[in-house]
Amino acid sequence: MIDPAGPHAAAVARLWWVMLGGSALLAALVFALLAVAMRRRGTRDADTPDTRVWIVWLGLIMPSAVLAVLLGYALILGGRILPTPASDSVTIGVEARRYAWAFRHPGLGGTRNVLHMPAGRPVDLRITSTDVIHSVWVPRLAGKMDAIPGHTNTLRLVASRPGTYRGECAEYCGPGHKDHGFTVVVHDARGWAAFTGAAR
Amino acid sequence: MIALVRMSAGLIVWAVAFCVLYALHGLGCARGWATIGLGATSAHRAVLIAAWLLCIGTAIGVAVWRWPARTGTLVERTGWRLALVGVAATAITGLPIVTLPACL
Amino acid sequence: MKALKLHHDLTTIWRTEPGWRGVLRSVNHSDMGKRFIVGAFAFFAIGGVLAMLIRAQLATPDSAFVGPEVYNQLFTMHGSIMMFLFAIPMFEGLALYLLPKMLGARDMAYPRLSALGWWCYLFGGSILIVAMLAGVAPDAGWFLYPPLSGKQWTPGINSDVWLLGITFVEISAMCAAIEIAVSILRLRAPGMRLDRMPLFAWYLLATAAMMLFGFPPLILGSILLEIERAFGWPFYTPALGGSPLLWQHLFWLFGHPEVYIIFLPAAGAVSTILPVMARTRILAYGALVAAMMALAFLSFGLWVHHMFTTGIPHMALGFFSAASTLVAIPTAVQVFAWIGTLWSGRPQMKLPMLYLIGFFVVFVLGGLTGVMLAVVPFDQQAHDTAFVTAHLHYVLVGGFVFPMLAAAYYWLPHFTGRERVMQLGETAFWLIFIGFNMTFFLMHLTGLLGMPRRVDTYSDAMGWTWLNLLSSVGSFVMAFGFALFTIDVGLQIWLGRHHRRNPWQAGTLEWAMPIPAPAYNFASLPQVAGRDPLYDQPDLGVVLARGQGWLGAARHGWRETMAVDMVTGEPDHIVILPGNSWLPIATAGVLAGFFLTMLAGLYWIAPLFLVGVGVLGWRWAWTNGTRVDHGPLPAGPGVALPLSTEAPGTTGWWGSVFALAASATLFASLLFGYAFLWTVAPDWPPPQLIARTLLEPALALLGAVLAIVGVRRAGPDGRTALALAAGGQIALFLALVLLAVLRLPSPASHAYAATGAVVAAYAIFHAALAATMLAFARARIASGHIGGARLGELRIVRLWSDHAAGAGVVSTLVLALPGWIA
Repeated sequence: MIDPAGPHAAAVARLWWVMLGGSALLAALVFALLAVAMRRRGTRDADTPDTRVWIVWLGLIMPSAVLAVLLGYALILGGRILPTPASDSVTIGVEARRYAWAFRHPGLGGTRNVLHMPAGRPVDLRITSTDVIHSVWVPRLAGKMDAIPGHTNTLRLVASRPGTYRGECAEYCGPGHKDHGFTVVVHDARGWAAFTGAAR
Repeated sequence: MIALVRMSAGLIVWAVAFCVLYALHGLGCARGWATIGLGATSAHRAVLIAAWLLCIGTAIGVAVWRWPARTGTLVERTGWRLALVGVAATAITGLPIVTLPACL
Repeated sequence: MKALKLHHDLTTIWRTEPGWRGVLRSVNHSDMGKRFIVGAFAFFAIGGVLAMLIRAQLATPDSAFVGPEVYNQLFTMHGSIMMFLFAIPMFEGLALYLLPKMLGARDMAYPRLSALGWWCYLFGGSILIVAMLAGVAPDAGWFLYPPLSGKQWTPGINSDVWLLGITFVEISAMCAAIEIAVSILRLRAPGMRLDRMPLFAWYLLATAAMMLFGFPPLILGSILLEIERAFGWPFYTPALGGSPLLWQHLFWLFGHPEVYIIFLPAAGAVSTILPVMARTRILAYGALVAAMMALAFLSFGLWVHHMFTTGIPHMALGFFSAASTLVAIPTAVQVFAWIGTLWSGRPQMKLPMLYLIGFFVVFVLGGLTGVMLAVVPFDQQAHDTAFVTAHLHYVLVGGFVFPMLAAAYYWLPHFTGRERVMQLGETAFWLIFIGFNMTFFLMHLTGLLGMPRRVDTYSDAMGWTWLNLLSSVGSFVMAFGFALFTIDVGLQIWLGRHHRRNPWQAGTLEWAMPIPAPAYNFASLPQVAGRDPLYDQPDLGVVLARGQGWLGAARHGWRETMAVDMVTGEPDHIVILPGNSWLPIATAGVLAGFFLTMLAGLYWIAPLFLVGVGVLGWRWAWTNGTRVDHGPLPAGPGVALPLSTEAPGTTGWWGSVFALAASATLFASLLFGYAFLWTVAPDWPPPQLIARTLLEPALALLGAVLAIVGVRRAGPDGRTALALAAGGQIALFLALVLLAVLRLPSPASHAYAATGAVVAAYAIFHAALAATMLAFARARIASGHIGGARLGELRIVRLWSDHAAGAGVVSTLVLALPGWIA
């Protein structure tokens, strides 16, 4: 996930680094307060502690502000990577089973365990399963989507450039779960035309 | 016991609001309300916004009801604070209604 | 002298009998608390060994240490044991032991129920361990997703072991939840208003309420999956109108509150121990109460964040994402309240404080990664990877284990009356802390580099090798730490020097008694005027031992404690608690018979055991109460109070209210499931709906009216009215049986019929239960137990009868309406 090869994956990776930075700061704040607190030598019935600083400012206002920003970022980014209708999208069917993947490319026969897709265009996978729950995951291109029998889910992949990427099954499906990977071959425009033309 | 229910009233409103919004959303997607236009938006979103506003209004109503309790016993003061939490939580929980596509 | 005589008399009444007879018949809350804690610790050790095996397997690539079939059992059992057999029982044990003492009471509200919970836990947990040793442990993951856990893909009894064994243990958890809630609300010392209660009690009240509403969805889901596996009724099978997503909803509706159920008691322990370590009072008692209540409610709106990758529309995911970020705020309030308490006090780095530092560091880190996972696009990358495994261990070990280790050192002097022997605890802490972080900190990176969960091995080419090796080494370091902790605790228990009271100079009531605690806790109950009674009156323990508080006498051989008004703490009535009994272990044994015959597939014999439970239940209830009115009895300084048999609003009544709330939650989950399947599952509407009918709805309505009217007209000589009400329940029973058997299509044909049959079964069960209770009440009138001012049992029966009537009407409508509308 931290080596993205597509715009959606890159946006999520960027989000991750921002969250990591923010978390490090917050953790540092809390630990610093804790360390200083442990060294305090106030007397028990001393000046009444300033509850408002701790509860209202640190406990309520600071986290609310941080979380509001994060939630906004999350909702906006989440909306942008959805499979909204696009004129140049390609739809590919995916059928998961124990322990192989069947891909049905548009207007072509099926392939096993190898997904072909074009670079630079949204590719919408229509995913289902024939037996138990599996999950389609190409970490460098997008988040994952479960393959659930009786349901069809849609996952949008967008690759920036041609190449070969690893895909995994990301939902425990039995003893063969670890050997349930697949390969994603991303073609440039000419390669994709050749693939869709040649296989016809 | 009634005192404890009064104390939790704000949060109970949030819980009911949550159920209502989630149920309406699921029902609407299953029945295709998102494809029915209604003014600038879809019937689905309009229904959701109406429900959301109604729930926020109820939460505010609970907060108004609990306003005199903010100077009472601890249980009563907590009821006032939780009423405020209910308003904030109901408002924030429903934000996706106005920021995201309905059924994707 | 007076104190000694009182001690002798009370001990005679409250003691556990010697030898095996005492072990099997004890109902004492201190005994049960200690048993739960020791049992939980034993299961923790077993779960820990399983973790070692997992890490041994994952330490190197292409490992052949164990094969995938065994590995799948290892991780499933590790998770199931830690969540169900360690975490919940551990805090239950602490609660059972501490609550009466902190609240100034002599015992919990239902001593025999505490014992029943213990035996159910022991027997249910043993079923799982025996299955593991026999090689048929559950192996579909600790959350057991169908279809993988269904009959087709797990044909062996592995999943049934989980479904039946864990449900057996959950009976224990439900009993504990009801008892904890009632005990905290009613059985406190006079003068202990709600806002004078120790924070530990507030936290456990919130936890108990969460358990009441959080466990029923899981119990329902488990029942449905077991029925699907045993009888083929398709709830989760898409080919016949079911959906695997229904399981996920039901499971996580429980599963998310579950982790807060685990966290809150630990937070209660932190709120108790930390101010004592800082030699001050807690900073913001009111804010903590508000924060924990907010947490308790909000945690029920998060469950779909475990399902962000299941294809649910993004707007709905957004609701849960918003709620998941919101829940961090009350958590932050608590963390800063605690740090603020330290800041305003004079903290000492005693051993419990050291473990609390560990809690702060690890839990805060876990909370931060939790907020990350609340963000949907990020979660869609990190879900089902080692990142999530790392996060959950940070929050669970940080948020529960470290506080429990602190609690162990803090309360061990109370349990044992002894002090520490060697300074092993500090070394243990550092080994655990360093080992834990070494195991799990880098695991976040392992997940981000793409390692999924639950793979039994991996190839070296993935680049995960050195990360896994480090994690495995770290886990062994952590294991040494826990071993050292165990040795340290063992030394203290058996070799520690006997200690003076109140080694921590704490202010809460559990320290106002000799340690180890006597069987009766307090020779007389205190009048409480503040939050830290021992700070207000340091010699309180001696004063109470002399019998100078409330109920400071032993009379009639009764086990007495005080019931107070829920909010104001005004003394209300005297509760007479039952003594040692065979009933708890006998009932647990019969229940074990039920679960084992189900496991063995002997489905026709299993219901006989349930009948046996009913018989024992009748006997159980029969031993309560008295045949005469006693009138008000002396309870304390110039005050006379009635007995619970002659008072309204008894613990029995409230327990019924909470039990029915839990049952109603199960029913609501069932109706939700029905609506969910109708809307979302494939292959709906079903090929055949219920036949259109008027007879059964009319019969049900008539039955409900009879039941409601009859039970209201029943007074001290209401045998006829009760018979009428029972007749009404029987009519309801018949109506629903007819609907399910004659009018509904076969349950195995489609999820519609299967769900409908279960809807009917719920109401049928309650109607039968209510009819039995009405018959019981008739018998109690005849025997003289109900009469005069002793009408409490009638009030209780009315609750159950009304619920059954309501459930019967709702069920009938839900079932019959499609026949009319479609």
